[in-house]
Amino acid sequence: MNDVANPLAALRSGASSAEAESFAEARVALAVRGATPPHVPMRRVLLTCSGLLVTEVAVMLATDQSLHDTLLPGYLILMVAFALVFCLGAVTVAGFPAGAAAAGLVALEVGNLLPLLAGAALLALVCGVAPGWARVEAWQAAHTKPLTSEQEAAVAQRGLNGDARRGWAPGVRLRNYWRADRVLAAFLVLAFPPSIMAFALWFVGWTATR
Amino acid sequence: MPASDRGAVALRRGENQAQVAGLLLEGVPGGRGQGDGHREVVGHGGGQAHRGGQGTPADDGTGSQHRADESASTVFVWQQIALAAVLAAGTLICAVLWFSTTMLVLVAAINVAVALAVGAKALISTVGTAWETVEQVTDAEVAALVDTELPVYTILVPVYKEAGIVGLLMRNLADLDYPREKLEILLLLEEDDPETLAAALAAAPPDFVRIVVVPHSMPKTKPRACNVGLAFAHGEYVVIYDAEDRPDADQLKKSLIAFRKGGDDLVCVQAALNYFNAKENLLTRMFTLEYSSWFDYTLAGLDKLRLPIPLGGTSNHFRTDMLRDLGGWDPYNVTEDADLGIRASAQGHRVAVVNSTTYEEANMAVGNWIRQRSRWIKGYMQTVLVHTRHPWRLLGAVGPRQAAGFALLIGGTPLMFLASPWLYAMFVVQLIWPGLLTGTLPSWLVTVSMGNLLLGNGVIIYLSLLAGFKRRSYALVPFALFSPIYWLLHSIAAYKGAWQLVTKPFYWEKTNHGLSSHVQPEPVEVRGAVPAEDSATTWSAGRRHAAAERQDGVRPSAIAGGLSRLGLSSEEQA
Repeated sequence: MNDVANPLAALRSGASSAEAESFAEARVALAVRGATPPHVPMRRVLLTCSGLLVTEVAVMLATDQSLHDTLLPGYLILMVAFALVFCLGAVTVAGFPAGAAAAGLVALEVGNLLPLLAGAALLALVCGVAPGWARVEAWQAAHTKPLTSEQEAAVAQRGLNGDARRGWAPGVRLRNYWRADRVLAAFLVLAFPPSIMAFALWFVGWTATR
Repeated sequence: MPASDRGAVALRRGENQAQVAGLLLEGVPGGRGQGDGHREVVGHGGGQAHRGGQGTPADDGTGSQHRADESASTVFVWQQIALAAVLAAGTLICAVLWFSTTMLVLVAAINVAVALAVGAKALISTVGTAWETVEQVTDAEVAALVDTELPVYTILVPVYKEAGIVGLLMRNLADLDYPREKLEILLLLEEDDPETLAAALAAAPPDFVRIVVVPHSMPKTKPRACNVGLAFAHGEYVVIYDAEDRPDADQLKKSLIAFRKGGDDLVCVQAALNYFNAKENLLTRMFTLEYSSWFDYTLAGLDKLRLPIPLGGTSNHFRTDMLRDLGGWDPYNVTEDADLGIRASAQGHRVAVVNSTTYEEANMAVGNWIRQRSRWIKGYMQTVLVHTRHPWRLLGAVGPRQAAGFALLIGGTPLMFLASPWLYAMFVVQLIWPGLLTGTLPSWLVTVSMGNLLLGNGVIIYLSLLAGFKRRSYALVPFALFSPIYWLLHSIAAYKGAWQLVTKPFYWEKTNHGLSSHVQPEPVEVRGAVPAEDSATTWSAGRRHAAAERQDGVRPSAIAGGLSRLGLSSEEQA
């Protein structure tokens, strides 16, 4: 059975550049077919954050701090925790509480906006190379795009050879490609809430004083 | 089987095409060729309007039974008219006597409506986002299915004036991974559309495709055609696809597993919808972001919260017997799917979502988009009017949480679109003539209105951002910033829909398909029937081509010109 020709075994000699590119994409698609998204224990993250928040608020109230000083570190804890989950754990929804917490920080002090935007840019750059996102994208692509007939044949061949553990084509690994579009999108997700909050505060204040 | 002068006619392959076309042109379906073994006639007089008395099951002309007070055939009941009249008169009198106070109440009401609708959407979508990597049905479960144990599945495809994409439709359906002997496809054509019938016959579909000609009557709507199809359906399960749909290959199997896992009260499984021509222009990008947010987050949130789910227009899978018990679709409701989802909830049934996607053609022309959207919003209004005729009964049937979900989502959506322009108007006035509004309204209300407008737009933009991100459509994400403009288009459509609700309540604003460069209409080549083995080759070739097309994004027209040619080109490639 092993002598069955595998269409993805090697690029034929004399192939055009377009064919070579298509061939490389097909091999990557096949290799990542078994990729799974990173599993982040969100329940544990939520419990840890809640514990930290409760402790922080209790300490601040016990030391007779103002509401402003109590909320500031609280928002900071939420923002950092969920921003890290968003960037490293590749969980889209974590961007929501991270952004909301950043908006809360801006509501407390509008001057926080610029440092927050700088932080969002830094985290977005991390998203550009984060391996978690590459795994999620590979997993999603494998679940939304049907294989071509060539890839189906290669999968069948892999089954015949009993090699179902990894990508059929030797040397093909899931690599972290720099994704500039992902960086921009991540920046928007993280930076939009504090920006709209700052704009809303400015606009309402401006119209009230005109 | 006896034929009826006004009955629906189902054709099998091999039917004398010229004869049928002639019958259609003469306007006498079923008038000839009786008892030839290829034609079935069901249903009743299609020309009868649905005007049964309250609480009496009425025949809608298609064999489906509806209670008149559950149908949109009566647009307003007298209580609703009386309430509207009292509110309008009261507002007018109050405005004359106490202008400032009346304006305060009106502006406050607009703010509350927008805030509640946006807040509910944000809350529901946030719950939906929490399950972003959960698969309701896994690939392993699909692989474990045994073909011989699968039930018969019926696919209903209502098509009207879409001769150009019939061949493409055949190819897309051929992509489905389901045993052919367990599949029944009913192509639902209208009597006054001989061109599409000719195209369908020219495509020479195999035996499990039946062409059903729906007799002419009013209202000429998609749900009426679907009710006819439901009468013909033999499948244990039934699903609706539109002509341009490209469902994921494993969608039928995934839905089947979802039904098996979902319990006996699960009447419908809704697959996600998305667009294959997202990057065509700004409108298609916005439409794609909106659909991603709606199907990936909002419906998932409704599912998790066990709130009533307004079904999407296509890719909703039903248990056939339960659908018949529900009375099928309301032919007078122009969003019959949303109505059916709510009706199912009201009768104690459940609707769930499944992790499978059907790709459609996004509307790429503004006029066409407004037509489609005005119909949808009008349908939401119809649905609200129908289900609030007996508010206490609804509350008792579904409970306060579900009733609130229904009111906020189905009622709140059109209300929000109608109210938003007034907030924008205040915004503009505040910008150009600062202080003008505070002469009439308290300053706190002006501030709240501005904040509400900004916050509401911020939420809508942010949900679109997240939705684009979740689909990994990073290139679309920046376009989420255009959401406020896109939502103003909704307001235009909402006012058009509201106007039509009064003037043309049952008018079905037809959406033109096949405008995308990804869906070039194929030349219809009318010819005789082909041998069965030829059509089998055609279908398997079609499946391969559809898969390749989705993978590579190659235009269908670039692959092959028509279904009949596919078989040949496929063999040549092999």
